[in-house]
This record gives sequence, C-alpha cells and structure tokens, in this order.
Amino acid sequence: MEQLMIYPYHRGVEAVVRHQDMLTDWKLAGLVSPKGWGLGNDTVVSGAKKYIVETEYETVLKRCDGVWFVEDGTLKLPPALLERRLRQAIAGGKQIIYTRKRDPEAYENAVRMIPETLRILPVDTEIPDPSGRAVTYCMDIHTPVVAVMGLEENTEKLEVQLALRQAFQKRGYRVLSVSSGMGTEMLGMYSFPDFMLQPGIGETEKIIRYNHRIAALEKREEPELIIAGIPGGALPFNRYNHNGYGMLQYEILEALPVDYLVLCLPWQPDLHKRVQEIGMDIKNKYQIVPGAYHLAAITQDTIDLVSEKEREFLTLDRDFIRRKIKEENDPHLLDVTDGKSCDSLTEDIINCLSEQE
Amino acid sequence: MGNNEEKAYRKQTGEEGPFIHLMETSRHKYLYDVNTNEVLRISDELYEYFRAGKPLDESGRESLHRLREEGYLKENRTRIVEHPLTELLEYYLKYKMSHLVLQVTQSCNLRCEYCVYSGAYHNRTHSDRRMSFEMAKKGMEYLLAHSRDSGRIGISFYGGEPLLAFDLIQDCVNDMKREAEGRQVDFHFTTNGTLLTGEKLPFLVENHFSILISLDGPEAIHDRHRKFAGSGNGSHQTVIQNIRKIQEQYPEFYRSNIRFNTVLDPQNSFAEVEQYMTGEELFRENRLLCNIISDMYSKTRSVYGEVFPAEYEYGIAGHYLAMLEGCEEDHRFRMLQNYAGQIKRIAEMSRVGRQECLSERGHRGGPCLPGVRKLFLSADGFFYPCEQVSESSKASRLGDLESGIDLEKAGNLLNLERYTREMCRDCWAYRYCNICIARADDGETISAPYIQRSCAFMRESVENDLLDYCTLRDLGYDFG
Repeated sequence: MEQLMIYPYHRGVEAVVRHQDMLTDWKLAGLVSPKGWGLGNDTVVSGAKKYIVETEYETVLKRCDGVWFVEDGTLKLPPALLERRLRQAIAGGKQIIYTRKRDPEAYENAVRMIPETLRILPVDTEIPDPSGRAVTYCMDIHTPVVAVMGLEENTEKLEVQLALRQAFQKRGYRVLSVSSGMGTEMLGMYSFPDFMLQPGIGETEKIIRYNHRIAALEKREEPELIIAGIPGGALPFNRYNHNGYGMLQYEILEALPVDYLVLCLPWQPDLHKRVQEIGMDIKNKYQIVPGAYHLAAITQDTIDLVSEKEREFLTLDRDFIRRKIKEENDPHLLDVTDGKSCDSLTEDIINCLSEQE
Repeated sequence: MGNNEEKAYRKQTGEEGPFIHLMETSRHKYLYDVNTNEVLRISDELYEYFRAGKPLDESGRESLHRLREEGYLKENRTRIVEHPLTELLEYYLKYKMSHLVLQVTQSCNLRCEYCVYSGAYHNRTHSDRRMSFEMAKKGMEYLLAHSRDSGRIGISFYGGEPLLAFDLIQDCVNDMKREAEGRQVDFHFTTNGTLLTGEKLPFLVENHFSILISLDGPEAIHDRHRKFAGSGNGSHQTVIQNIRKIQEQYPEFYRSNIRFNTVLDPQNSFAEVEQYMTGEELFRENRLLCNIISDMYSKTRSVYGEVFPAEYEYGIAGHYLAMLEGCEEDHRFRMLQNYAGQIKRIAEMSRVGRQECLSERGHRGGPCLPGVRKLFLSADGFFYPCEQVSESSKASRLGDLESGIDLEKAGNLLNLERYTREMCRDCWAYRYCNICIARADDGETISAPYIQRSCAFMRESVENDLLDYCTLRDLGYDFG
C-alpha cells in the first residue's frame, strides 16, 4: 500500500480520516493543513489510530508516495499556495490525486500542470451515460435506496454515507455508494456525476441521466442496497441563502425511488420544534419523511443571520451534540459518529426496508 | 419554573398591559409592539386610548380587537435572563475570532483634550508603554489558533499613535505573512496622520493597509484640539501635507484604502466642518465618517454650542433626502452615512419577519460576543472585548496572553442584563438596546446605576431611529 498525504486538511475531510480503512490502494500517512488555518496539532481519531494534523508540507511530502488535493472547507487555499504545493509534489515525483473540481477553470489549469505519469483523476468513464441519445424515460431501480441529504452544506453527509456503508458491509450486504461529493472513488464510492452540476442541461435530462447512471451501476454491481448522497442544502434558509431552492435534491428524488431518507442538519436552538418543522417542510417539498436525522457538530453563526452575505457556520464538538441528543430523547435524532447510534440507524433502516417488502 | 415562582411572576405581570411604546411624528402616530417587533401606524383615537385611557367608540374598539386578533399587544416579557448565545460562547471563542486589536503603544505625539488618553477620561492616560514584539506575536498566534471558522481575519494596530511604533508594525506584518500561510489577513490602523510620511508608504501600500485618518475639519477647528505635544502647535498643516503626498504617489491606494474620521466637537459649527470635508477636492473620493466626542468614561460631559444641534439635524435630514433620491454615497452630507446604519439594522431585523413574541429565556440587545468580532490586547498583555472599554477595570478584562480568555468572565459580559434585570424587563427598547460593557463599567466594576445613566439617551436614540425608519419607509425608501 502506498503512503498518502491529504492536503489541505480541514474538518470537512474528517470523515475520510475516520474511515481511512476504506481507502482503496492507499494508506493514510499524513494530514497537512496550511499553517495559518489554526488546525496544526489537532488530533483526528480513526478507530484505534490517531492522526495529528501537521503544517510542514515539505516534511510530510518526503514520507509520502502521493498527495490527495481535496476541496477546501471554510477557509480557501490561495491559488498561489496551491500552485506552489502542486509544483513541490510534482518535483518530488509524487502521485497526485486531484479532486478539487468545484472551480472548473482552476481544475483544468491544475490538471494541465500535472504530468500524466503522476496524475490520478478518479473518473469512472465506463459507466454508460445516455447523454446524446434520445432517452426520454427513467428505468426501474429494483434495489432499495437510502438517500443521505443535508439541510445545509457542511452537515457531515459524507460521514453518514461512509458510516452506513461500513455498517451494512459489516452485516454482509453488497452496497453500491454514489456519493454526494467528488473524488470519492478513493473510498470505493462513485462520485456525484459532473453533469448534475453543469449549466445548460435541462432538469428533465438530468433526472433521466442520473437515473440511468444508477440503473447501469445497479446492473453491473448487483448490490443489495444503494446509498445515494445528495449534495447541497435541501431547503432555502432565507431569500439570500436559498441553497438553490433545493432543485438538485428534487431532481435526485425524482430520479430515484428513495426508500429511506437520512437528513443531516446543523444543531439549532429549540431543536425539538425545529426538527418537527423541518420534517414537515421536507415532506411537503419532497413527499418523503426523513426516517432519521443526523445532527452534525456545527451550528449556524447567527451573528449575521439577516445579512446578505454568505452564511457562516460555527464548529461545535461531539460532546455538545451528544448532550443535546440525549436531552431530546428522540430515537430519530442521532449522531452516526457514535457507533451505537450508527448501529441502531442501520437496524432501523433494515426494519423499514423489510416492512416495505 | 416552580408554582410559587409562576404565581409570583403572574402577580408581577398580571396588570402590566400590552408591551408597547407610543411614538409620533408631525404626520402620524405609531405604536411599537415589542413582542412582534413591529411598528404600526395607528389612529389618533387608539393612540389616545393607549396614552391616556380615553374611551373608544365602536370603530376604535373594532380596531383594538383586530390588533389583538392579529397577535399584537401581548404582555410577554423575557422571564429568564440568558443571552441566547451563552451556551455557544465557548465555541465562538475557540473557533470564530476574527479581529485582533494590538495596542502597540500608549504614546502619542499629539495632545487632544478629547482623546481617551488625554487625562480627561477615567480609563486611560498617555504613557510610554509599548508592546514588545514577542507579546504581539503571541497575540497573533492566539488569533490564528482561535479563528478556524472565520473566512477572513484582521489585525488593527492601535495606540496612542500607532505609527510611533512603525517598526513593530512592520515586524508584526512580516511575521504574519510567514505564520498565517493560507489565510487572508487584513491590516488596519487609525492614525492622527502626522507621521504618515513618505518612507512608510511603500510598506503600507504593499500590504494593503486600511487606514483611518483623524481629521476634524478646517484648520482652525482641527487645531483647536489636535495639537502637538510639547510645542502645542496645531497639526492640520502636517496632516494635509502627508495626505497630499499619498494622493500624488499612490492615487489608487489613497482612494480605496484611506478613510477619514472627524470627531465632532458640539461646541463648533457642524456646517463648517461638513462643508470643508465634503467640499474639498482632496477628500472627494474617500469614505468619510464622523462621531461626536465620546462621553464614555469621561470626567466631564460634552457641551453643545448653540448652532450645532440644528445644523446636525439638518445634516441628517439632508442625508435622508439623499437616501430617498438614491445617492446616499455621494452627496453633501455623506459624512453622516454611518448615522443611517442603525436604521438599516432595524430594517434588517424587520426583514427577518414578524416575531411571535419575546422568548421566555433571552437577553436584551447590546452586548457583543466578547472577544469574538474584536479582541483588544493591551500593551501590558491583557485581553479586553474592544479598544473602547476601560483598561483600568478588572471587570472589563477578559483574560491575558498566558491563560487566554476566561470563559466565565466573557459569559458575564455577555449577560449584562443580569445586573439590571428589574429595569430592563419592562423597557420597551429591550430589543434595540445598545448598552454594552463600555457603558456598564464605572471603572471599578459593573454597576447598575452606571448603566442606568445611559438608558434615557439610548431610548431616545432608538425612538428616533424607529421613527426615522418609519418615515423613510412611508416615503418609499427601499430598504431591500
């Protein structure tokens, strides 16, 4: 197994570290965060292993065979620094896994910079895609589907998808995971397809193409369960921060017959009431009631609640979240990073799916 | 809440009546409903009913009934005083700091009587105390370690006159460029402008400093207060010379990175100051701000001259007219732009939508999250919520560089209403109160009577702002 460094490390990548045993062909050897991000010396626990976040890129680079350049979190990597780090990795002859696709132009530039011999772009080109063909209908999906959706961005959707996948695999199920993120092939998942985020493709075509993609994967892998991650936020927060009005979520829920929905949400005051309201809103909008709510260890930064600027979030810790969940005493509200909760969620899903059969 | 407490509460609140405040302009009468946070235009009859208990006729009773039906006129008060962000304060302080103010020196080369260091205030005096680089570095490291959730961070260099410690400022900026890899750091300072000389400019331009220059208006007015230490000569000419050089050498930087702040002495003519600041070509493209001499911690009260109040009010009216005409950033009274800020805050709050009622558990407006948006590090290594508070009072002190911020103290400053519970709970300005620790600390301790000194003025300001908001809204100003 080759040694892998993740750069730039931030809290959004914690799920990958926690589930590093799912990395295919790679062994996680270092987490590096830019010095100014204030994450140096943070500890990330993955089972019995502990990883310490480092800030000395060059030092860690020496002991690694490859660098996974991941998407930014709250803090943005300045382009000049990214270029410098890429050049250092290239100069060191390291393999480069580059999944920073949020900015297509920057992505293309970076890809051009990386020599083909070092470049690993985890894109599965073998999945049949009906693009360009006159397909006008959706296929039947026969496998039960669990969807993982976020009320907002940054609500630990990837964590939930990975935890569920692991839990089901442990129980012997064949799981097909189509993630809410890009570049998750590294973890044995299929990435969210690019075409779903491309402008210029109509909603109907997106629904049909997504459906056909899943159908093709279902045929190829013959799974017993499909876990589909849905990127973005499901409901508009206010007139300025509208989360794309949930259009993407609507498209996917049209494309897939979802049997069980896990909704990830940030902690918020008056939680019991809010969860009920959110559940109703989701039902009214998407015609499905969440079977469970994962409470992410973040909350809305309410200082600028009414301003037009992009919303910001505040990191909380697991103890806080678990305390709040305990106070609520609601079996549908949980934190999947807690093994017991993840197990009970898995059982609940199995029971629900069995009843539906 | 137990039964006895509940009974006591009911006894207390049973005859309180609706939680409202009545206001009027020359054109209309208004009712501010505290619970829903809405201002309603009401009839003269209803106004007199609420004000003096005058009986209502049939249509008046119908209007009153309708208001109640629509959820107005509730009696609810906050029962348990706790700022809603109290339980999150720990996380804000851990992850969401965004701005550090470094008091690089307490020295100044000017002696302005209204300056907080002049000796006319209880909280500070000038001294030759200067921050060491090691201390500044530790402070900056503290900011970096506690701001991972903040997209941008900033560092302000504060004095005395910060440019007396220009070498320290340079060291700090260079250090941050090394240590803050991957972060966008904005640098700021406020200066009297006398030391803003040519040799410093390349450094300031290269590092995109945002600079606020204190300039009090035309030479005669400026020099009345802003005099050089020792000689006692006015500083206006020196400042203007320096400003002209920046404009000549770095016109783009001058336009976009330099703002002017005018401290208004209400004994002077506002019109004279305003005509100079907005009329001079030199300031045509710069952002202008102004504020009236601060009374906070002052040993004396500001004295208003005969012409100032009327001229100032005229200026505000002029600014509102400009807002209505859609040219609020480029007009004669643009130095009063900040004045409209509070009204816009009211507009923003109203945009959130109508509130059901005050929460049972809550806190009045006013206190900021101490140390989060701004953290002041004094030259002797103590943390305070901002540069406006008293450094001589331990009550305002949040902690120090060695042990960090004391969460309990920060929580205490956030929950100031605990000191004034009885007088706050029935105050109609509960939501818009702006009294924070800077107006709560008598120099020794947090003091209810000291807070109370600011209440009447605060309520008057809030009422004016609400009425201005209503007037502008009624005249068709689009608050967005």
